[in-house]
Amino acid sequence: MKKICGPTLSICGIILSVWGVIQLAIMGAFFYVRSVNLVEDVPINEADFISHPEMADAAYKQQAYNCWVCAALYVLLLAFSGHQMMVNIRPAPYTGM
Amino acid sequence: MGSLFRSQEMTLCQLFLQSEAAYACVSELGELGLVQFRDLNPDVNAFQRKFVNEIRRCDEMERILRFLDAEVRKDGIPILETGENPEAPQPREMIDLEATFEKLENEMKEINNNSEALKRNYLELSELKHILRKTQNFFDERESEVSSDHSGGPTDKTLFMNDGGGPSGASSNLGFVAGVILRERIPAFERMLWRVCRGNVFLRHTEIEAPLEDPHTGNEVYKSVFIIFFQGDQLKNRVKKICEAFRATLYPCPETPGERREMAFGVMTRIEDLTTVLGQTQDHRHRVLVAAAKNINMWFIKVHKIKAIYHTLNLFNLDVTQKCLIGECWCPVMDLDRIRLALRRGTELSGATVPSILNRMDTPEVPPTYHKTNKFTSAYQGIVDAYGISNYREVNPAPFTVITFPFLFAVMFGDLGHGLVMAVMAFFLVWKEKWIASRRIEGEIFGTIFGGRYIIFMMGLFSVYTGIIYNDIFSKSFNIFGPRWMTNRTIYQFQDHGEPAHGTLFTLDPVLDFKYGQGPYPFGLDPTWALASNKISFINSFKMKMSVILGVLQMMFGIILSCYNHLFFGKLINVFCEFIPQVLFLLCMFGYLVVLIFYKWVNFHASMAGCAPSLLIGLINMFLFKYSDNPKNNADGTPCLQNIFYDTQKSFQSFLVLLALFCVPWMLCVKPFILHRRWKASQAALPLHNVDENGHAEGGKVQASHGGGHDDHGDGATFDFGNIIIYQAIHTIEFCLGIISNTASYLRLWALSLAHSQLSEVLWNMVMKFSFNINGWGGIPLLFFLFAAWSFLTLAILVMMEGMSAFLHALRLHWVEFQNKFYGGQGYQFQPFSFATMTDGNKPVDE
Repeated sequence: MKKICGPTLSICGIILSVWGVIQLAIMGAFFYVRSVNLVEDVPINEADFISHPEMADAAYKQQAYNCWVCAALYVLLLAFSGHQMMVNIRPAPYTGM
Repeated sequence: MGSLFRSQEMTLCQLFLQSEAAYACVSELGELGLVQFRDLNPDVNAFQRKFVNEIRRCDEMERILRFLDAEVRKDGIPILETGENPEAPQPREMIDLEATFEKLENEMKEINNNSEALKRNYLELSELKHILRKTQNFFDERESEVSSDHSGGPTDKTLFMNDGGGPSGASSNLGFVAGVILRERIPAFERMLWRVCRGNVFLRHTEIEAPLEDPHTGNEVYKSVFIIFFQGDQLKNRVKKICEAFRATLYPCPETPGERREMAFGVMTRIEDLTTVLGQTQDHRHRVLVAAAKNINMWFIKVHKIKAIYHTLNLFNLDVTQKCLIGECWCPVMDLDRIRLALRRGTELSGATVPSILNRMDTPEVPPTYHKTNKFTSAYQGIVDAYGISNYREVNPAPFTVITFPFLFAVMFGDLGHGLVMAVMAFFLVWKEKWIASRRIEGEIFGTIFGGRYIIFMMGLFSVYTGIIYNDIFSKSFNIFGPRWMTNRTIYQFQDHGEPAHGTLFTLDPVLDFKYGQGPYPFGLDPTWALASNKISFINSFKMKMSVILGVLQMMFGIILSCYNHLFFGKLINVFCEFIPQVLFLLCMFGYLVVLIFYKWVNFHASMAGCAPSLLIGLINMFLFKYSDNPKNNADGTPCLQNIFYDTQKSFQSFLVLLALFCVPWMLCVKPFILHRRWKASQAALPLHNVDENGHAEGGKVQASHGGGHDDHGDGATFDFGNIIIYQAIHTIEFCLGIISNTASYLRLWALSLAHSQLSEVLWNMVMKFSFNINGWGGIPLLFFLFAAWSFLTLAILVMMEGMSAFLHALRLHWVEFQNKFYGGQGYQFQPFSFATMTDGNKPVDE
């Protein structure tokens, strides 16, 4: 039950991780289905895109996996921040004198 | 609940309260919170009012409560916040409260004094204990020195020379004093001793390791033990005086080691006893404070209520028979029954025989403005009131602001992702509002955001809607229904010949590359535009036209609301002389423009794109009466409708311009002329009959002033012609020039939404895009940290900064462009006597 972050930092962590989980999961799904709107983000240049389309598919899939792993990392961050929040919210007991 | 469209109808009432019942009745009215008392003794000094003694007693009680509160907080005892609201106690209970407080205060003072005395005792004993321990070393050293001195010879006797010439070299005459001094003072102490006693005294000192507690302040200080050896009485006096000056405490230290050991034992036992007594004193103090802490909040509230009631009673007048208190108050007509009920309750509670009387009075004074709001609408009413409180009974812009303000904000903010983030955060504030309010978080910024939580929630929801329309989520777009642009032509068909160069841009032709079968993209912008490099050119045209349409609509709405005001106050002259020409002026110019915008959107197909009329140039030419012929027909024989696109365009547009120009003298001259005629008619009729051309509003004469004195001259001896003409001229010029400038002002809707979307795109391209650069698992830590950075920047720049900016501009559009069509804003706020609003801000703050 050690207090590593104060209440403000815990709240920031919670907000960031919830946002990260949701957005990265959705972005991963969009990369997986090879959405056109993300075509400029995939790290493959135009020539290869036209000549080797399977490279484009692989790049898309790789980014999708990256996003999903990051979403999992943010779940861990959420757990950590939530735990810190619990430690901060509970008032310190009165020890006398 | 009353309507929010206009402020409530108010009436001035006279209140007759029997003296015994007065306190209870005022207490009931305070709980109700619906009357605003007027001060009937404005010239009376605060110290000469009737209830000054009671208020003094309340002040005394508050002082004691604050003292108790400070003690409770010093001990770190948590104060209970039950949130309950006790009623104001009866006057006889006040005496009980005073007695309780006094008893508590005396007890606390006694405990504090005792505890201080005990601590001082403890300090002395512990210092003595340290002295006894440390001086053991000194005496041992001295013994060895004396023995060495005897063997040393007379040369060492110089150390012990004294002034009075007593026995020299006799070490048995050495006197000493032992004491304790603050560590910081030792160097100065030593130097002073050396100088004053001319080096004839011998000082030894050691530090006390443990810090000692100063009894008065409770701070912990570091001290040192010292012992001074000297010979003779004069030196002894000097040493004693210096010790006093440096506030060193001297202790009697016995010479022989045996006595010292005995003393040490005695001191230890006394220290133990004292520790137990101190512990018990602290326990007792803590118990008293815990018992007090349970009730302290309730007591604060009760005392505040008593004080408030007596302040209010001071506003009353005492009638000649000394039996009855008379007061005047403003109250809403709708709630008169509730007020009478409250008065009856108060009279019953106090056991008085004569019932209290509430009497309505007629008065020419302007009543205060009172809007009945709930927790949702009060925030919107607040932002409207920030510009100016509505005049009495004029149309209140707040109910419309509930929707138009978040909508205009959203037009400027327009991003699904940012809107969602804003909406979720505000939803959290709304969902947990009771819990957050009970925590009473300090801080003005948080207070402002929490107070506006409903507004922010609505802003977020509307932004989600406009985000869907602009098809923009964190600068990417959604493809829900399938794009209507297709790539069914090869690159060879785009160009005339040869291989296209690498990286060239291709233009999709809206006639050839568009799927016409399904109709346009059903809702919002086609997602294809997100990948187009000329996206901004297209969006600019769309958003500018949209801004003008929204602006004209809102201004038209404002002018219509002014008609409601004219009709309500019975000023039909204004309907004829101001409302109608204003409507015509706006419609002839910008209403026509709006119609043309829609016409061009609907009627001109992509195949006619080269020949479509330019609306802006057309509008300018309309005012300059400049008309040119259309260019020659197209290749396929269809006419090129670039300058004239319908038959009677020239004559119709000229008619509109002339009508608009005609409205200007209409607004300027007709009203003064009619007023002059009316005045002459009233003068010709009974000269004593005061014809008020305002007409009659409900309940008493009501004047809705428009900022000028132009309504007051009906009953004057002279007709203030100059004043009226000037007022009318200012009003007309302001309106006419304002129409043009305000319409242009609405273009900020376009400007801010463009800025927002571009900022969002820049942030994505500069921050988030790099996290996808690595085509492998190494991208994971990059993505993790870059996402955190991107989301932090999104929150800080796009949600907070752009949000505040859009908020401000939407507010300005409401305050200036919308409200100057109809709003008076010169009223004063209704401030009822209410306990609820008072006790909120009256808790003592941790300073």
